[in-house]
Amino acid sequence: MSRSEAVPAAANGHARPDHPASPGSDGFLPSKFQQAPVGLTIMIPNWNHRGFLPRSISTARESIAAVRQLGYPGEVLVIDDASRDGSGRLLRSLDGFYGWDDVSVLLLQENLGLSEVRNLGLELSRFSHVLFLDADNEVFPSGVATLFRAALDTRAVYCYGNLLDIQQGRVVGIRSNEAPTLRLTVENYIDALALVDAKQALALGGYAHDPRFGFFEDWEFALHMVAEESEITFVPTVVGNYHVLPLSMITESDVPKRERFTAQMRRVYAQSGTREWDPERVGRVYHPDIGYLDEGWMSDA
Amino acid sequence: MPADSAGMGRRRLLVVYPPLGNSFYCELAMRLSKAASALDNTDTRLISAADLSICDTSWIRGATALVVNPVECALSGWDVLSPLSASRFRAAVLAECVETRWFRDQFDGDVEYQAVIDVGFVDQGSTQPSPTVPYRFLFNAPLAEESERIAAMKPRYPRSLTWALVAARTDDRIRFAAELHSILGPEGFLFMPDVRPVRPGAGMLSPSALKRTLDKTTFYVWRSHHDFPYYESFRFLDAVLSGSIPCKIDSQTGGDPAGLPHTYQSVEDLVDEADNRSAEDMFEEHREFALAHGSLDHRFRELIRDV
Repeated sequence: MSRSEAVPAAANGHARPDHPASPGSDGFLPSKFQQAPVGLTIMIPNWNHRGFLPRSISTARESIAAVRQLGYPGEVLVIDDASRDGSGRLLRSLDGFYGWDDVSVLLLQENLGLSEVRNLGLELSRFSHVLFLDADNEVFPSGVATLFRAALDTRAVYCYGNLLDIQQGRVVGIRSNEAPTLRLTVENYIDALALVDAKQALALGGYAHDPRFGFFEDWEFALHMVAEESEITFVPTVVGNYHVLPLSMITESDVPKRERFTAQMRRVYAQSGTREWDPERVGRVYHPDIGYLDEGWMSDA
Repeated sequence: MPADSAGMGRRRLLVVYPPLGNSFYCELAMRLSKAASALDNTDTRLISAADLSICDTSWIRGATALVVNPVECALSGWDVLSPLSASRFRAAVLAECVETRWFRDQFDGDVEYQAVIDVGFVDQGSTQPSPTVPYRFLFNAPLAEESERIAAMKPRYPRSLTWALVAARTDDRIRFAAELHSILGPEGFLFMPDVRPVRPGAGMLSPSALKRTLDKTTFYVWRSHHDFPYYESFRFLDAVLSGSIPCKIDSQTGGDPAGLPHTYQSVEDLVDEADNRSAEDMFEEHREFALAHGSLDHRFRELIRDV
């Protein structure tokens, strides 16, 4: 682990640490203004998921090794969002015990919220691409390498692939398993575990920290990319496991809020209420071993 | 099937495909149309069900109509098929397990059929649920041109994708995908969207995209979406035409049913076989099956003659 830093959060934002992606003696220079080298940062935002960190960090490191085998550099960046469960102590212990050189840790002193932490990860990444891995999930090296190859080939701002839902050790579902279509205006079926072109994502404004969208910041970001005609690409490979926990972020008690936020999302992005039937192409399907896979319909001729 | 006397003795064959439904049935209609093109003394038209209302009614009147999947043809309403009532002879063309609703529901519309043509590898006549409609079986052999391609194929293995699973999402298949990933290996292709028609704009794979995928795939694996014994002949042909090895997994089938390609009881069985045989050898077995049953052109000619 190359560093373990405690970072105070400023009242009007947050101070950035001294990080290779943000050089300068006067503090922080956002990476969106720089040309980061081509490579991958697997960014793990953590908030009170101490028990899951060894697994997510371990699979992230294995995945970075797979990316390095492709000839590209990579790192794991863990940002702890002021956890109260001892995550910070664990991360410091791991740092001291293993001394990994491919893992960086930032310990925020004040909680910023998931959107802001993800945006921080985009800004602090040493490399061109960032894969967001929630601390309780895991990734497969082969799937991450395939996503990364797809991102380089397509230059898409957002590449994602299949995630298997795991509950109590059993496979119970699948997500991020659909190509991007305007059905996204009805519901979000693309998880945040995805590979993002950091520069393009920041140019789009990153994840919104807007209470009107509540816990649907992932969905809002997806629809924002559609609205901006940025390329979203589905890669038909198995990228990781999504662990469904009893305390997952959206629970049944959140149903009224979910309905309110959904209404808000549709008011902004699907006012006519009919866009889901629009055959307009809003994203692509691509596999690096095959090429684009959303063409070849008779009507394309 | 009666010959047409109105067109100077030439038979009229109308192959109707669903414009809004699953593109799989469009492919079936196109293959039948190609098979029909080899018939002597026959004028064949391939037409979307949506265009029937603007089709020359006098032409329909003298025609034999082959309606590929009537339910899918009538997604916008059964009345789209009503012009066919004037045709001389009507047959529903299906490629489904007869014990499923996807077969049974085909006869709900007002159009009466004089035959149902079941396209597949096994004659299901003894179990077909609509005895009032005469059953005809059409073996789903490759077209003559496809047979030539299969015979000339020299696939090399391993390919960049170990396996491919392309299917609508079900709980069983999700677990199946997880098995493939953990047992057969992570280098797989998984396309498992929610069930909906396979057509442009729906975020689905086109037939040509599937072909390009299978061109890079060693094992094309699938399971039925129902519990009845059935072998999906089109999956087999899609695989063999791309040099991929067709691997149906069916845990309920004890041993290989007679006259069908090899079926695996589990992913472990497939891995065992792959460990003990070369992929080239496994493909060869399926190539032999594909070429052992003549051509669809020939089979179709016999069917038309005998109906």
